[in-house]
Amino acid sequence: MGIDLGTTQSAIAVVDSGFPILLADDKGRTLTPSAVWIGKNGETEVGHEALRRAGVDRVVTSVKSLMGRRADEVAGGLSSDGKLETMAGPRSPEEISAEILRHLKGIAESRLETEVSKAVITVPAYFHDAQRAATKKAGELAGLEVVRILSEPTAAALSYGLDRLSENARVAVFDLGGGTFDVSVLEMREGVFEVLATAGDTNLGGDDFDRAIVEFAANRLEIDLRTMDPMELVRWTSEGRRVKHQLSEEEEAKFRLPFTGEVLMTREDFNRLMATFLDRMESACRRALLDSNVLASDLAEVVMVGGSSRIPVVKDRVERVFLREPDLSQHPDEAIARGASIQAGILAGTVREVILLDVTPLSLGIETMGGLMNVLIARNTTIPCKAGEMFTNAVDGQVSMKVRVLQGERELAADNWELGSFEVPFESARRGQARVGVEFRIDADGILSVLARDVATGLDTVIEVGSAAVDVHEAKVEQMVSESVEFAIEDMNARVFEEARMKAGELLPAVEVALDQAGELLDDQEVLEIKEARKRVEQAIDEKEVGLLKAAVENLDEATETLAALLVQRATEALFSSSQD
Amino acid sequence: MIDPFERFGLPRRLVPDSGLIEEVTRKELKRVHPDVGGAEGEFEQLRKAADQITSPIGRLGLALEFLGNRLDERGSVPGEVMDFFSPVADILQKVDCFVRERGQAMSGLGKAVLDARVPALKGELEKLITGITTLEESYLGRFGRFDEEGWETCQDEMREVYRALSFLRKWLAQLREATGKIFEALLAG
Repeated sequence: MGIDLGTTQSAIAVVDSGFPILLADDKGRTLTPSAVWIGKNGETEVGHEALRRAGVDRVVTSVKSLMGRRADEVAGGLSSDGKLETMAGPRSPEEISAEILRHLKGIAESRLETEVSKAVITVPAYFHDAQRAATKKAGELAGLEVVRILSEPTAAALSYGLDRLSENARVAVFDLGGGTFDVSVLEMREGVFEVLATAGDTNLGGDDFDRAIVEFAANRLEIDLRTMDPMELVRWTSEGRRVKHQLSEEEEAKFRLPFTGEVLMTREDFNRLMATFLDRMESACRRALLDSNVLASDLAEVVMVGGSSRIPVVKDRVERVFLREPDLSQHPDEAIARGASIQAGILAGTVREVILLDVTPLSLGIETMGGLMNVLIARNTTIPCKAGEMFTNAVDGQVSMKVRVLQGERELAADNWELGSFEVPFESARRGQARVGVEFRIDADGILSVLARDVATGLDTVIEVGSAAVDVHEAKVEQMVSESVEFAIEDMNARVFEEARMKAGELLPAVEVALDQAGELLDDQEVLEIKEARKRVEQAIDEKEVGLLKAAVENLDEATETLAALLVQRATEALFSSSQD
Repeated sequence: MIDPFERFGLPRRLVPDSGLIEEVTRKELKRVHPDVGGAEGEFEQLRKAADQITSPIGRLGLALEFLGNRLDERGSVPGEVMDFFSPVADILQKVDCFVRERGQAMSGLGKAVLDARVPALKGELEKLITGITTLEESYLGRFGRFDEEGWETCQDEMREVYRALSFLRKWLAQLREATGKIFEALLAG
């Protein structure tokens, strides 16, 4: 069976006589909210039943965004040992996810009237090693044999492509879910589905849009969200989601909460909130196109899936980037589970005409001298794949060497995700004599394994990666703490003045250049305002008065907003018009 | 090391029948994929061989190895290739500079002024990519003659072409990466 373990909802499907079907629970519902409630005595409810308690009791939702992460990455989401609070005590994200999987397994078993033990579980394409491994572990905790961890857009492509097997085409899959966003470019030829490139953002999805609506409403109602009771926030969020849904159908919607007030929101308001999210999506789309060396005009189709693909302004942006109307033929909430079940069918031998070649989304490398990242396996390499690196001892008799394993695209090792580190064992030997080959293998699940082979002895050792990560993390926290203390005893005023002065130093020459380049697009009044704001900044610098300068700089920043927008618009137009063909 | 020509049963030619290599390698890869019972490690090995034989420079490298040459990217490179050296280094530096400044910019207008430079950067990148691609094609155009006259006879020229193509390929990759960096910086808001 195939399982789509989603941020907000999950689904399960099986292939029946060559055709994927979704399995419904005893009330006929095919989508299960990814919500888990655990009572004082450990009793558990999952899905619709758990969600009914939200806003009253503590219910865990969107646990997917915490999978395989460290506490310092997800502000407030996890305790320092990586656990979530429930009424029955702390639980790990894997344990919570396992409850959802166990629930889905139950649905399957009662539908199919047989025990089910093997599953393909989907994850966002852009999930890194630890997030994939955590998902696999959740499956095992739920008593499942996880036969494959499959990327979501790839699953959606399978679902899309199964009845188009005779076509040879390149397609893009745009998958915007509750918490994550992926875009993949694939080539389908004679039953081989080959992912050419994938890009995405594991922290971008419908939940962010709900939050933006909540912030918008709180702002209008002059309510401080930071001091809001968590249960109240849950009610706000679910109202935000309702408004979001309504705005996909209608031009305006009312955000309304009893005893609190109401806020009218237009689609225009919502679209404005979406602007930065849309830019991030566009950036990922362009990266995927570039990496796959495919032009938007070469694509046969762009397939949209995921609940948030229903939002009109998202569709518009996709259309603009890919130069065509998106294909909405796939059920946005069901395509991924269907695709997962097809992959399960391939592995079980019941689906024979298809094969999938997926890629690793992030480059894998090791830290070299000077703290740089040395890439061993480049992003978008077909998996399974492997790469080797030879290590030698730097001094006589050295018994081991520490190697840090990284995933990411940044040049500095510290900017990438650290998978962990391991020790390469050496046989005692003269300097430069010991030779150990280390093999990095990324399996078809996108999960790393490391093998060290001593060239002299021919001995292989399987290496555990990860244990050392905790130490590094603690050291980092310590460093951050000590830095913040230093910061506190510094003269705050001097710092604020310096910051404002630096910003002024950037703005003043920029005003000159910008007026020169696009000043004719403004009316006289606007130009006058900018010039006055500029004069105030210059005066404030001379007077060396902190508050005055800060205010003047902010004022100039605001006064030049239109001018900045005009310049950006012009640059963006020039850029995208030439890059499309 | 397996010989990809032999492994895939393909004729030893630099210029293959159109589509033949892709068809044969795809079929073989599908057969040995672990999902359909391929042996551990077999797919990875075959994938490497397939990548090598699918790319023109990969085939040229195989041909040279077949003739007993050690592949070496060092050595003399034609002037028409070296002409790209400075412009490529120059634009890559400009892009890095733009990306860095863009990341540090604090004000909307500061970013906007930087963004106004982008079309020019993009234009330069595109011009170089086009120039390099054209030159690359002219080298690939010699492959037919190498096949006809025999690899043995053309060895020296093939070595030079291999070095030229290595440079051009590396630059193309860098220029594309730089284009991507601009997009990302621009859209980072």
